[in-house]
Amino acid sequence: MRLVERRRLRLRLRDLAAGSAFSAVALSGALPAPVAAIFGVSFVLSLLGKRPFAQQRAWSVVVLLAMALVLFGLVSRGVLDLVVAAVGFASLVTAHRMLSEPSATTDQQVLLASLLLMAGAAALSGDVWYAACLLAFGVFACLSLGLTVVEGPIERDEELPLAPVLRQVSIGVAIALAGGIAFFILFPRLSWNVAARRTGPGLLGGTTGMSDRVRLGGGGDIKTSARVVLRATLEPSPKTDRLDRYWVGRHFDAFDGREWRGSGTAAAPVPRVMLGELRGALVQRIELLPAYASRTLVGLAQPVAYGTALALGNTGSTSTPLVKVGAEEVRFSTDANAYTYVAYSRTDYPMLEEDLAVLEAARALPEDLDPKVSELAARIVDQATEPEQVAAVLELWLQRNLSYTLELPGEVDDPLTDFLFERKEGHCEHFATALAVMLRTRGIPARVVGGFFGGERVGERFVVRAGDAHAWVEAYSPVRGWMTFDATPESGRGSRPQAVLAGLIDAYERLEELWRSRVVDYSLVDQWEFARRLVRPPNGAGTDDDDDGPTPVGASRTRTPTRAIFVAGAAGLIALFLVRRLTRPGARTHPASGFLVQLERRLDGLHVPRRPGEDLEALSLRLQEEHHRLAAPVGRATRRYLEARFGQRPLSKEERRSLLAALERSRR
Amino acid sequence: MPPTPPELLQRLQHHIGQLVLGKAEQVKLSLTCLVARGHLLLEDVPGVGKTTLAEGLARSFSMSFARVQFTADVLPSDILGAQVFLQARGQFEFRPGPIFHQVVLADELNRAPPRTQSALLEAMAQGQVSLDSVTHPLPAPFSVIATQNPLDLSGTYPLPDSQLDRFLLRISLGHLAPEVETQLLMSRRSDPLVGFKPIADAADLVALQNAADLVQISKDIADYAVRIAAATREHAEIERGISTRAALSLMATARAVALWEGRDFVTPGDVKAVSVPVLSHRLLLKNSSHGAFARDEAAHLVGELLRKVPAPR
Repeated sequence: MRLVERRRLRLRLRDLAAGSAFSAVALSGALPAPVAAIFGVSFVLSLLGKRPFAQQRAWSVVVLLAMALVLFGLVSRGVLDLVVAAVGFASLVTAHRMLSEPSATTDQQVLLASLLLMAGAAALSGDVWYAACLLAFGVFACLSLGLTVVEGPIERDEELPLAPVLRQVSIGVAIALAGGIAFFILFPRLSWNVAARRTGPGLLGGTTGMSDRVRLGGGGDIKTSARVVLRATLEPSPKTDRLDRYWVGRHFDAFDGREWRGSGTAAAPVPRVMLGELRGALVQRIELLPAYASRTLVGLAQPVAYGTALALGNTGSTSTPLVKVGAEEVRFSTDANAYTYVAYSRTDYPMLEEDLAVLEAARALPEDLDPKVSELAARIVDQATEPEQVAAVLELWLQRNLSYTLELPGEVDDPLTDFLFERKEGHCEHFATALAVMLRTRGIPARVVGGFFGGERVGERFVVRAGDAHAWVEAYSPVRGWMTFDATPESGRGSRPQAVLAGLIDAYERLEELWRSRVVDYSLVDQWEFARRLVRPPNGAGTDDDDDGPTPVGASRTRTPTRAIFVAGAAGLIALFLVRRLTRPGARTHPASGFLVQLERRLDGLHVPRRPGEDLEALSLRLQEEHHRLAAPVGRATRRYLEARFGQRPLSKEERRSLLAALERSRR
Repeated sequence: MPPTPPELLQRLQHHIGQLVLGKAEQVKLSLTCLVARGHLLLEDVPGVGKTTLAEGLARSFSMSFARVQFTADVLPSDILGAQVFLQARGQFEFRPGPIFHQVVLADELNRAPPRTQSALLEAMAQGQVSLDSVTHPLPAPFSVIATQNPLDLSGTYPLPDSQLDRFLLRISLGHLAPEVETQLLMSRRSDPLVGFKPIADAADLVALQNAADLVQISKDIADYAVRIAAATREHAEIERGISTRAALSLMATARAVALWEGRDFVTPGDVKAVSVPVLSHRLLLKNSSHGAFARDEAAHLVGELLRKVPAPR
């Protein structure tokens, strides 16, 4: 592989590194579209080898400055975030340098600007794809720099087999990455959570079914979505992998025959909303992800309090007050991409004296209700009068006699009658509506609840997916308050994602969870834990030779730290290998060789013609024979280089500089 | 104050250059060969100044000089000398042959039978002559300059490879450039050796030889020589690459060449400068043929190897 091809490869790698850095920024979604477009065009041009700015140095700089002024003008007018503007400018600088005359300096400038982009991207978002971009940037930039270094000691038109060079450079890159990871794990972390959380809706976009009203009809595409909308840490944490519990979002009490809506009015914003008795409550630290895309708070049934809410926006997290809207929902008062808050829930039903007005609203029937519905209800309920009994009988009947489906094409005038008497199949909203309306025909207050059913353990936390969206019924008993009933057959609850897609998304979520817990939230405490575990296995945790059940505390104290010995041995072997490898004779370049590279660059800059295969010694001799005007300074520099390189008379920095300066002087 | 080695060498080159016109490079190499304590093989057609060069070298250092014309009937004793019975005293006495001179010109060495050749070459290698269990040391400094005619090969005994290896350098003079030849024809009237004065003595040569011994070879240079040697051994067109003795010769010559620049260390340029004359006659090529063609091809191969083996930087 000759010089031209090597250079092309190096430039490609450099551009790919810049592209990776830019992707990290672009995927955060914060960058202005024109900037992204400019970079995209420049990237493609550069990959094609077109460098229009190589000749237009002055003009292109003027254009760049104008763009910088525009960006910072936008910042001063408050249209653009400062960090976003800075990253945008860094993108433009990278694009400009990529399209300029390629040289070693330009390469370094491109990589430096890309590094800035990487840092900016960390400030804009710290999601798992940032890690992917960082990895790609690291690999490409190291390879490009590595090829630059290789260029030094070889002759300019020398044939260079690519495979062994790339193998060596790749070993270097792998060592560098491993070193970076080791540094990350072991070097004490003084900062907390450098990378921001994701603030845009992310790669897959936002999806949710949590809306102001529930309209009957249409299918249920959302049931197949495996996007995670909520993550929760539970205290005390249940030991199960599947929670299968109701997550209450909002209540609907007004039904007009076609759709449910709420009727409550909003109260004043407060930092903390109390709904019931807090004692013995299950604490949930909940994170609503951008995919949730709604302002309603969600808590496990039955939520008794919400508090400590933070809204995560483009410029970081701010605490946000909460608004209670009637009896139906609690919502955040500010708009943001994502939220975190704490919810408190009790498993029993809080006995609450309900307003008569609320109960009256929960008994109201739509005016044009088909009489067949109440006849059916009366027939099913027969003699029962107790609300619990009535509700249980109706719930069972609906579960047994109607079937669950998501295929509901077409619009019908009266979806409830259609569901109960014609089609006899529907989804959770139909079952909930039927149960609530039939309860109301029996004079029992009932309302539809929208929320989620499920909760699946991923790592430390439980996640709820968009497909877990569900609707069910709460019926009021004067003795026990609001009670939960679910007429939907069990097969219809929870999400039913498509297997392949779910697997993929699941893997992505797991990776993201790992990234979040092991990288973003990795702290000094975790480091200490890690170091401690290396030295001594935790009490009770079995090691490889003994993993059947917990061991007595005393036994684990006296056990030899096998793992520590193993790790220390492995680390020692790696260190030995590296030392061997790095100090192998010939692996290091001679200090004088650096001067040679400088000298040759300078000679190239002075346009001293060189013949193929001619080294400095031969060149110097030829210049002397030709009585070239540079013969004297080149001869001196060559002699000193040779002395330093082969004659053990080292070259001082000042001497190098003066030799190079003499070369410059004699040019004039 | 005695002249420094580069001064002395330049002066000698210039001095001999008056004798052998237009051959500065060859004069430099043959002087280098003397300084490196080596023997020189001149391969060329008759009448281009081989003998003049050899005698000029000897005379410049005011060293004793002998010329032996080799023919098919020259015997070892004709060169080394023989025990002669002196009747007057009733005992044998050693009569030294022409080899007991400091510079010996072995003209047309390949015309002598192998037995004679090997006797000479043994003396060259050991610096002494052993006859009838008596060892006679040769004078020091001692150097043999042998000539061969590469074209007229009928009735010759080509030197075996093992014996070629004993010559440090092989050079050829070649015909003169036309303008130099014109000048020569105009200016030369009598034998130029008549009146050719020495400008140094044998002690100066010994001093130069000792100075060359002090020239250092860094590890990278030695490594470079080893890599060149390895490359000759691996080359597809070369039957047998160079020996370790050849690599040693390469280093010795490079040391002597470094002296020309007044350096006390060897550079890759020194190695490159002497590689062709040191190595090309030691390579055994696959399509082995003798004569000028093989010589050119070997020189070409060495040049190619020099381009291929990266020099230390």
